[in-house]
Amino acid sequence: MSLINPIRYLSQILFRLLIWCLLTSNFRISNLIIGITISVILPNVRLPNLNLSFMAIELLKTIIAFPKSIKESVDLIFLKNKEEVFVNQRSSVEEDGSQFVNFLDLFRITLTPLSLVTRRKDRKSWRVHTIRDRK
Amino acid sequence: MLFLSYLLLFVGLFFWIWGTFPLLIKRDSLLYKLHTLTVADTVGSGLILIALIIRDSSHWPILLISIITLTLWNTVFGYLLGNLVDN
Repeated sequence: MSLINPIRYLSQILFRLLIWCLLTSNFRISNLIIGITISVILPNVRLPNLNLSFMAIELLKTIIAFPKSIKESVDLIFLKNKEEVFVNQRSSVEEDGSQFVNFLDLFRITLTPLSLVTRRKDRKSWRVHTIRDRK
Repeated sequence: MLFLSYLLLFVGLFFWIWGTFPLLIKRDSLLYKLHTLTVADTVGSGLILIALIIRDSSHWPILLISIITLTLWNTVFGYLLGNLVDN
């Protein structure tokens, strides 16, 4: 317990409390106390190799991907000569880096309609299926 | 505000119909269908749910959690199916 970074522990508790409040849609004190108790009782998540400031940037990039996906939907609808290709895209961390950042990276690429991760190409890149305009 | 809600609702419905239609076309590849289903399920449903939040803001927590879970599951299953097709 003493080895856990306090900021990381606090953010984990806050995240669980947020999900609890959204699920129960009830912000009264009694419900908050139950939520905090459950957040503390649940086992700690172990996320090795996680750099908090790096993760914050990745989270921000993921939030930006939501409006980008609307733009890419419109692009896909108005594409005339569609061509399907596989490309290699550099991943933000290597394969043995933080699992959570790897997941966020995969999520961000797959969320947008024009690109879809199919698997890892090698240690440093994803194999991504995309649709583009035929020249 | 009601106008914005209607606009998002109809754009979302258009995305739904446009994205689901390629499922019926046999010559499209499975990966292309996954791309169009992303348009329908993630973006279309997200826009419709945002329109519902604007319309009935008292139920925002449950609608917000549906947006989060929809995007999460659609994306994870999209990756899963893409991975299986590529292998």
